[in-house]
Amino acid sequence: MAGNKQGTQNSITLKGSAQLVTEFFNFGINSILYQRGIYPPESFTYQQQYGLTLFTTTDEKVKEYLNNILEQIKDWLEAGEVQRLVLVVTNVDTEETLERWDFDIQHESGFEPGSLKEGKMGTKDLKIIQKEMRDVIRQITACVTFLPLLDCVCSFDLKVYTNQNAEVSDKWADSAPCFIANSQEVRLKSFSTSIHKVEACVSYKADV
Amino acid sequence: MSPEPTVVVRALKDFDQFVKSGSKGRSEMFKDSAKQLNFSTGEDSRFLATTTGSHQHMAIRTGAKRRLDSLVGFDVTKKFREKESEVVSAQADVVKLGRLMQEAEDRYKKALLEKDVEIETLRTKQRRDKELVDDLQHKLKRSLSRAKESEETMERVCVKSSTSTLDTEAKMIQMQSDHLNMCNKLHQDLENLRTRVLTLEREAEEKDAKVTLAESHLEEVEEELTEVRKKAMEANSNQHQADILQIQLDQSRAKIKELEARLEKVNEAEQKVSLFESAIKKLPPLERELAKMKQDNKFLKATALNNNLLEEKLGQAQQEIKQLKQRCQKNAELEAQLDTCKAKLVRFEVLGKEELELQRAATPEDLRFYMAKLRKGDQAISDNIQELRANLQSHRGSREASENEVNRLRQKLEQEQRSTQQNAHLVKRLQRKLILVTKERDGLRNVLTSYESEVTINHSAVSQERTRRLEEQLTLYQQELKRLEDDLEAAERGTPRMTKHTQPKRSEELEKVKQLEKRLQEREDQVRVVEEKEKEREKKIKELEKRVEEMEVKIKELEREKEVYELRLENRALKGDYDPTKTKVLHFKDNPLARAREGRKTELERMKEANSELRERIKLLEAGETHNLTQQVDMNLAQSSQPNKHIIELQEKVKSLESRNKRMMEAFKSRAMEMREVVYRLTGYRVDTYGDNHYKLIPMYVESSDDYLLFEKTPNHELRLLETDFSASLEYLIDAYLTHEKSYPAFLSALTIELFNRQAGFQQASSPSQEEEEEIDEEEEEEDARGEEEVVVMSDEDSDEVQEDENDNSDDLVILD
Repeated sequence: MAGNKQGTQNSITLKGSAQLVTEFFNFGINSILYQRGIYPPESFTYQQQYGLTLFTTTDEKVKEYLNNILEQIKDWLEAGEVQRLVLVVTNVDTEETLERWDFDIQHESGFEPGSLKEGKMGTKDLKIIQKEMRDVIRQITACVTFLPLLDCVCSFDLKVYTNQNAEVSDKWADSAPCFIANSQEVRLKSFSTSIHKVEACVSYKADV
Repeated sequence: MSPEPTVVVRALKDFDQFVKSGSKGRSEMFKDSAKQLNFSTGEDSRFLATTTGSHQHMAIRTGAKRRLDSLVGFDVTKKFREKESEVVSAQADVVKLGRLMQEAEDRYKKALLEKDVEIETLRTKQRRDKELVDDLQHKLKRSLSRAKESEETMERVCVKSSTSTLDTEAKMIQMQSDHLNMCNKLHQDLENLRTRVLTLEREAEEKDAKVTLAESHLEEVEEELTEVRKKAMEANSNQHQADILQIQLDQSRAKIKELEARLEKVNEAEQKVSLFESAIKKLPPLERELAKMKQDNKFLKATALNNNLLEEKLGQAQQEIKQLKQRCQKNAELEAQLDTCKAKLVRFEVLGKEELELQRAATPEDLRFYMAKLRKGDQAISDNIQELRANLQSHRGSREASENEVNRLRQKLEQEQRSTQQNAHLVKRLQRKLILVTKERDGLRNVLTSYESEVTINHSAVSQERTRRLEEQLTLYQQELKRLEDDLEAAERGTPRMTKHTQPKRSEELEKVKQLEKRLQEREDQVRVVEEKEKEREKKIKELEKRVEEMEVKIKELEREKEVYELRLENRALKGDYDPTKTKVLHFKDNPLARAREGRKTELERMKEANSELRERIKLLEAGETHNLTQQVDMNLAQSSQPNKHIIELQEKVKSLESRNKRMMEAFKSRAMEMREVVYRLTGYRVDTYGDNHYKLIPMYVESSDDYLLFEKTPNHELRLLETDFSASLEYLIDAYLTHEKSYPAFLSALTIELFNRQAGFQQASSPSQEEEEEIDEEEEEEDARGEEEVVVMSDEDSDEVQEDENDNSDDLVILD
C-alpha cells in the first residue's frame, strides 16, 4: 500500500500540473497585490499555503475576476496554448505602466503541446514542487525591498500571451503588451512541475 | 428582412380606405374597372377586371363565358370539384387539429416532466438546506458550549486575580514596615560613621606630627648616603688599578712561555753538534778507501778497451760469413740452371728424334721444315675448325646444351676447387717441411759459427759438400713449390673462363637494364610532374587554409554577434517582448484597471459637478443671497447645464440614428439592386414602381422603352392590369391567358416568348436600309447582352452599358423608396 501511495504521489498528469500552476498563480497574484499595496491591507485575509502564511483578497470583484481568469488559464494550460502571464501595475491617472510581473510558462522537454496527448506523466515529488513555489513566493515578498514605492493610485491588469490560434471567448480582447520604456529587470526563481516550467521575473520603471 | 415601415404604413392606409368605402366599394370598383379596362369585345365588355384570388361569383361569370365556348357539363363538374376541394380542406383541417392535439399533449407531458425535475431539484435543495441548517445548528451548539467554557475560565481567572491582589497588598504592607526599619538602621549607621570621622581626624593630626619627624630623619639619612657614595667612588678607582695589574701579569706569563720554547730549540742544536763531531772523526779511513777504488777503476777501463777490440774482430768475421753464404747460394743456383738446361736439350733432341722420325739428332732446320709442314696442316685444320665452329655456334645456340655445359663446368669447378683445396693442403705440408729445413739449416749455421769462433780456419771441403747437398735439396723443394703454385694458378684461371658463356645473357641483361633505366627515367619524369602538381596543390591547400582561418575568424565573430543578439533578445523577452506572428496578448475585458479607470472618470465627473455647484454657491453668496441657497443653486445649474446636456444627448441620438439609417439604406440599396437584376435576368421583366401601388413592367425584348405594362395593386391585395398603349396591342394574349386562365405568369411568359420570336423573325425577314440595320443591330446587341449573358460573350462596351442601365434603375428605386 505504501509503495502504491508513493507511486500515485509521484506521478503528475497534465491536468494536475495545470491545476498546480493555476493555484500558484492565484497565490502569487494575491501576494503581489498585497505586497505592492494595490488594494488596502484590510481587504485581505490570511491563509496557510506552501508552509507560508499568504494573504488572499476578500474583495468580491477581484476574487471573481481572478477566478474567471484562472479558470481560462487552466484550460489554456491543458491545451498548451498559453506562453506567459503578466501582471501589469498601472498608474490609473497617467495610465503609465509601473511594474510588470512576468510568469513565463514553458513546457518541459518531452511534454510539448504536440506530444501531450500520449498520456505521459511527470515524476516529481509534490513536496519538492511546493517547495519551489514557496521559494518563488518568498522572493516576490522580498522584492518589496528594492521596488520603488507606488505613491499614486494604481490598479492592475493581467495579460495572457497565447498562441495565435488559441480559442478565445468574447470576454477577452486583444491588448497592448504594456512595455515599460526605461525598465530594470530582476529575474526571480523558477519552479517546475516536470510538465510546466514557470520562470518569474519582475521589471519596473527605473529611477532616472 | 422585415417589411419596410413605409410599406406597412401604406398597407394600413389601404385597409382603412377599404373599411371606409364599405358597401359602395364594390360598385365603385366595377366602375373603376370599367373605366380602366375596355379591351374585351362581346356582351361582357363592361367588365373584364380579373383578380388572382377571385371570389365565387367571378368564377360563375367566367363559367358562363366558358358555356358560350360550348363546354358542356362544366357547371356540374365545377361544383363537384368545389365540393371535393371543400372535403379535402375539411380533412386537412381535421388532420391539422389532430396534430394540434398531439402537440398540446406533448407539451403537457413535457411540462409534467419539467415539473417533476423541478420538484426533484427543489427537494434536493431542501435537503441541502436542511443539512446546512443542521450544520449551522451544530456549529451554534458548539459555539455556545465554547462560550460557556470561556465564561467559566473567566470566572476562574477573576478569582485568581482577586486572591493575587490580596497577596500583593499584604506584601506591600510588609515591605513598608521593612522600609521603616531600614530607615532607622541607616540613621544609626550615619551617627556611628560621624563619630568614626572625628576619631579619624584626630589620628590624621597625629600622623602629621609623625611625618615632620620622619622628614628630619630623612635629611640625616641623605647626608650619610653622600658619604657612602664617596667611598664607593674610591673603591671604583682601586678596582681599576687592580685590572691594569692583572693585564701586566698576563703579558709577563706569555713572555715566559716564549723563552721556554727557545731553550728547547737550543738543546736540540747542541745534540746535533755532538753528532757531527762523531761523523768527522770517521773521515780519514774513507779517503784511503777512495784512492784504492780509483786504482781499480783504471784497471777496469783498460780491460774494457781490450774487450772492444775483440768485439770488432767478431763483427768482421760475421760479415765474412754472410758473404760466403751468398756466394754459396749463387753457385748452387747456377749449377741447377745448368742441369735443367742440359735436361731440356736432351729432351728436345729426343722429341725431335721421335717426332721427325730421324736417325740422327734433330737440328733446327729440321724443326723449321717440320714447322712449315705443320703450318700447312694447321691451315687445313683451321678451316676444319671454322666449319666446326659454325657447327659449334649452332650447337651453342641451344640453351639447354649450354646450361648442361654450365652445370658440368660447375661440377668441374667444384672438383677443381676440391683439387685446389688438396693442393692447399699440400702447400701447407710443404711449408711445414720447409720450416723444418730452415730450422735444420739454422742449426748447422750455429754449428758453423761455433767452429768459426773457436778456430779461424777456411771452410773445409767436407763442410762445403755438405752445404751443397743441402742447398740442392732446398732448390728441389723450391721447384716443387713453384710447380704447385703454377697448378694452383691454372686451377684458379679455369674458373673465370666459364663466364664467357654468360655474355649473351649479359647483353640481354644490359638491354633489360637499359629498358629499366628508360622506365626509371619515365618514372622520374612522372614523379617530377607529380611533384609540380603537388606543389600547386600545396599552394592551393595553403590558400584554402588561409581562407579556412579567415572563415574561422569570421565564424567566431559571427558567433560573438549571435551571442550578443541572443542576449539582447533575452533581455527584450525579459522586458515582455514577443513574436507577434506566433503570440497574441489578451486580457479580460472586465479587468480591475478598466474598472478603476471608469470609477476614476465617474468620480472626476462627480467632482466637477460638485465643483461647479460650489462655485455657483459662492457666486450666490457673493451676490448676497442667503435664503434657499441650495434650491437656487440647483435651479441655476439646471438652467445652465441641463438643456445643453439634453440637446447634446438628443443630437447624439439623432446622429447615431442617421448613421444607422444610412447604413441600412445602403444595405437595402445594394440588396434591392441585386434582387432586381436577378429578377430582370430570370423573368425578362424590369419591374419599377410607378407612383403609389402602381408597378411598371418593361419586357426585355421590347422594341422601345415606351412599351410597358402597368399593374395596380388593389387595397385587397389583388393585382390588376391597367391599360396602356402596349397592352392595347396584346388583346389576344390577354384574352387567352387572363380572361380565361387568370394567370399573370403565363401571360407574361407568353408575352416574352412572343416578343422574343417576333424579334428573331424580324431579324431574319427584314431587309431595311443599312443605317436602319445598324441601329437595329445595336439595339439587338444590347438586348442580347441583357438577356443572354450566360450564352453570349459580351464585349466590354456592352457590359458597361448594361451596368449603366442598372445604375439608372437603382437610382430610380432609391427615389421611389
